[in-house]
Amino acid sequence: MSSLRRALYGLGATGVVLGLLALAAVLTTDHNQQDTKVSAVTTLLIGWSFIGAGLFAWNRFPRNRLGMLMSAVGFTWLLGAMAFANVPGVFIIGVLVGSLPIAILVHMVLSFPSGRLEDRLARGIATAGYAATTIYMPVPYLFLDTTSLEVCDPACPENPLLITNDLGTANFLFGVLNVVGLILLTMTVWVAVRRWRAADRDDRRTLGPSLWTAVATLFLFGSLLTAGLLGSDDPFAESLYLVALAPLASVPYAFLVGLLRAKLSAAEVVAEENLRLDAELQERYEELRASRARIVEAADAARRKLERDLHDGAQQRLVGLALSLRLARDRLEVDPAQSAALLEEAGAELALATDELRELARGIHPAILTDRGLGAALDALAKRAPVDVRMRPAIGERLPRPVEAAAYFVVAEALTNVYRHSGSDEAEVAISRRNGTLHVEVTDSGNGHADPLGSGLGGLADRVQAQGGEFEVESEPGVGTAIHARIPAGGTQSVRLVPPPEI
Amino acid sequence: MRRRVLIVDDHAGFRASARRLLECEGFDVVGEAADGAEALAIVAELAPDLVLLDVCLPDADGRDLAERLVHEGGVAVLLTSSRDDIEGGADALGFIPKDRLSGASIRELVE
Repeated sequence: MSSLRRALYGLGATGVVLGLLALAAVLTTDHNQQDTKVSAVTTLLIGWSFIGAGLFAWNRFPRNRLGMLMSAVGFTWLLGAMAFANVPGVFIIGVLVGSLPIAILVHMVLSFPSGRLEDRLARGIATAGYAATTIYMPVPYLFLDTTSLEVCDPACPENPLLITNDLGTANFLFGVLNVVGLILLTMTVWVAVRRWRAADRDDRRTLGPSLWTAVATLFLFGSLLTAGLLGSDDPFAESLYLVALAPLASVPYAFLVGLLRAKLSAAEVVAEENLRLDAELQERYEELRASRARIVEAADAARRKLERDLHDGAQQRLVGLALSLRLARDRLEVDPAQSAALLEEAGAELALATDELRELARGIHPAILTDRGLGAALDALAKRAPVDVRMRPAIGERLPRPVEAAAYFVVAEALTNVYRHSGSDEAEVAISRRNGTLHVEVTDSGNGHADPLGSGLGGLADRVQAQGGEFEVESEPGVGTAIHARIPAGGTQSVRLVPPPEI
Repeated sequence: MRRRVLIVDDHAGFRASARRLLECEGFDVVGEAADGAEALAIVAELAPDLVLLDVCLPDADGRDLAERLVHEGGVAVLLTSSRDDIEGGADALGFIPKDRLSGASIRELVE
């Protein structure tokens, strides 16, 4: 058994004993105006309900102070029943402790459901409530002869605190206490209502039962204080008091329901959050799988294109060259002049084949990009491009190779699109590095019919996203097309940590 | 008598080289075709003795075309390609890689 569990069992046993002592005090009292049976039932029902529910909550949610506060209401309520005792020392303790449960109840309402007083107003009200029901409480009794009170039937025990019997002063001091109590209760109800209005649907579900039973109790106790202040007749105050006990008795159970609901809704929040994360993860996974499939497809397409280019270009030229050379050899003796012409032709063919191979190799991966970096490669690209290119590169240093390659191919593909599809004969390329991100922008003022999902641009999007970057195509008929790529360029970019959701 | 040859290939450069080579080596190149449709038309019109047929044409597979040329046109067909992993079609006389093309290699398969 944990030490907390042992302590709680100890408190439970104390509560039982204290309840029995309170019961004895009620049953043996010689100064009760009310029905003794009613007093006995309300005393035990309320005291034990608060203690039991409080210890249960304390055990269940050890770090939430509400359980402790709830059981404290029960203990002080049972102590308050000592006002029924006939021994003056015990009697006065019961009298003095009698209002403390209300202050603790105020504390509970103000700190629900976290168990903490969250703001200064709440702390102020709670502190004032405790001060009024503990420190201030004995003061009026210094001037009150309890044996002569009308409410005692036939007479209450002596007041050990009495200095001088001055009913006027005592009533004035009680009046101050009532006014302060009324103000504090009103403020507490106001805070509770404000909290209710600020709460969302889930919080209301949690707050609802406890808040309203407690508020109803406090409201009725407030009415009781008002009745006392207005000097209303005893039967009215007495029945009001009995009415106030009903919601009070239900407060612990309402608090428990609220606490359990709060825990339940926290679990629901976690479950919902998990579902959301699962869906998000699934979506990202699908996206990733699709982009991986596209990358593989793009690589296959590139290989097919390369095979075709080689087959249709350099290979055909070399085949022609082989035929020319064979013919030249065969004609060498028969017709040296034709042979020489054939060799001449073969030389030209060979030069063309070499050019085509060079171009092809550059398409696969430009050597200048590897050797001299993005700036130089883009300059070379701009010079060879079939459209006029205004190049505004603002990068001096080398960047990681995949970043340079991604940026290069974005510009190359974009320029190819400008040439092939836009109808424009000029384009502008801007490259800059800001905050660790490489910004690549290619704009033209062509017909604006670019297809962001087409194989060319779609492939670029995949390439940029594979580097953790973002890729956008803005294409508007009549205005032109702008292609933006933002690629993390290493170095100063910061890692974004996503905090776990609040529970 | 010189054999009358039709060259079918979508690469003009190869057609020119092959024509010159074959003419120098004793063939009579009666026509050139860039695709299957053109090849069928010329075969019907000129009835050449031999068709030098590229396997990869933009509008037809050379082997299917060879079958039609042999059965419909009644001509002999030699397949050629710059690839060297081509299986000779059942209806063609044989296959010559483009860079091995010569009068001798043709005669070897035809005779």
